[in-house]
Amino acid sequence: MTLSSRRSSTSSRATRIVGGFTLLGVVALLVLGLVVSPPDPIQGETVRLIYVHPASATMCYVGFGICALASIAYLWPRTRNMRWDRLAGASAEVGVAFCVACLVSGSIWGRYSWGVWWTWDARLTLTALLLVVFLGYLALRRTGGDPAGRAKRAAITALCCFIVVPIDHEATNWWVTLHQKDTLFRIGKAPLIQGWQLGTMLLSFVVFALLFTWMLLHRLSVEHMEARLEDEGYVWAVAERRAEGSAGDEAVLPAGGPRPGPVVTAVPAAGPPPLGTGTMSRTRREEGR
Amino acid sequence: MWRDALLVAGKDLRVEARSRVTTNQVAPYALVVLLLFGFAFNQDRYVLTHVGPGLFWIAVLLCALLAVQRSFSLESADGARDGLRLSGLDGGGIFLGKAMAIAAQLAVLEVILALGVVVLFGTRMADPLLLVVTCALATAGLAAAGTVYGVMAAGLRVRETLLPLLLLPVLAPVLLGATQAWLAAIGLATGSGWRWLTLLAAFAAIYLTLGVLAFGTLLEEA
Amino acid sequence: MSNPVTGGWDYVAGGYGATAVLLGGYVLSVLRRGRVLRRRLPAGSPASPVLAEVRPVATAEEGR
Repeated sequence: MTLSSRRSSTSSRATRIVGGFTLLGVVALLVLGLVVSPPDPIQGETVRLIYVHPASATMCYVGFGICALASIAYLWPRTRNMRWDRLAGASAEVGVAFCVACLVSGSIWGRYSWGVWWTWDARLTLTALLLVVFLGYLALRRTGGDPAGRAKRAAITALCCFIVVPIDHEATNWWVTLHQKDTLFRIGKAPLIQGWQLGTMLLSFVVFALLFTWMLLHRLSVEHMEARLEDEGYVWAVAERRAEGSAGDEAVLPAGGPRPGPVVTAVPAAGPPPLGTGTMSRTRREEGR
Repeated sequence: MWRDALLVAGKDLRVEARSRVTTNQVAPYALVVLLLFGFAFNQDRYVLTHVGPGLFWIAVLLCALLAVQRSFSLESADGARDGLRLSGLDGGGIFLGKAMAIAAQLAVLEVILALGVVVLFGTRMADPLLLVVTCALATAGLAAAGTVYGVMAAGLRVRETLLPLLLLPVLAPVLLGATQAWLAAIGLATGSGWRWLTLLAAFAAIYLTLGVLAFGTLLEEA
Repeated sequence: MSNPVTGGWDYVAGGYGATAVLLGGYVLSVLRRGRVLRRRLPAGSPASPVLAEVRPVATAEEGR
């Protein structure tokens, strides 16, 4: 992967292209959603939230789905590759961001149409549980340890998290039907939409999918850089210290930074640990968090 | 596998019999939790009877957390986990053994807590059979899921804080199902409590299978 | 619930605004993380916190 040294260091050609389309899409969505599309006879202006809320919920599920699939790919011996692990972590995190956005926008909508910020509806409860479960997954990913072991643990946890989905779904459904406290309000049962409303809503899914892709690409590149730092950071650090030592007080590094290769062989006796163990960064991660 | 399971369970229960951590620390803790619930709800008999099942299962969940943590902190001293890894015991067997030991301790705690709920909150136990079956299934689920997540967090430095975050949301269906079944059993909920048992059984079955399959790998990585 | 003055526009603004703030804040945090990492990686600036951490080890090896 080539890293451009431009301002946004996680950008690449792909992110710039997707980002451009996303920006256009967001502008179009705002115009269509806030100006062109008509208000609803029942929900009034708040129907415009339908161009934000369902799309973010979908992207949340897509993020968690990609996380589960990538975890399976990592656990499958023939496709085992750290790239799958990084994809799982990145998409889960982006999914969590959309999940929070979905819960907050849904809560605001609910305050308007049901009069409460929160109701113990099956779908709401399930989404909240999903959020907590995946926050736990992300917390587990941030613990230190040998990268391969961490990846395996994280992948198994991701699958556990996904098993939770159907069970919780059943549980919360039964729970609500048994209680019969409130009438079930379902977003899907909003008055039939058509014309501009339907078009805008479909566009919102496309735009949010683009946004999701753009965010995932950036997040993934952060993940790659983190892994690179963890793998090779120690060697680079030693190389820089050596360069500082030989340069005396004028610790000016040669342009482009020292290359790790020759320095590894030059370090005497107790040389650095082999590449990929990440000893230094492991202690850093564990103490930092 | 079953022979290995009995070996491991026997070992854990023997350690417990000698150290008496569950009986001397976790059981009193459970009673303290019940007393605190009483204070929190202003000792209101009516409220306490109605939320009693939920409080009971929350107390059980908190105790399960402690039991799981205890079960894996046993293995962290003196390189016991390495011993377990090198013992040549079947991974699934170790999982079942650990889960059985945790389940046995939880069963004792549940009896104590149930007595506490009856005495302190004045809950009437109307349908004992449903109560006992619920307890058995829920305990199996709690022990199985607890053991899976316990070994996942075992080797980490942040395990004390990470384990509750990982485990409690996962156990939410057990809390939900067991509470509803108990509410039905003491006549506070309409509908049959037995349908919730399917949920509890499915939860236990899924985590038992998962544990038997994945525990060996997780132990290697711990 | 429905406010005749705002006609629900306040809720719309709240929903759109909250979504924008949440997702935008997350994107900014990701981009910042990327920039920080970029600086730590060797082609960038040499003065980075990670390098400062390993200084004692490295100087011991140098025998200084």
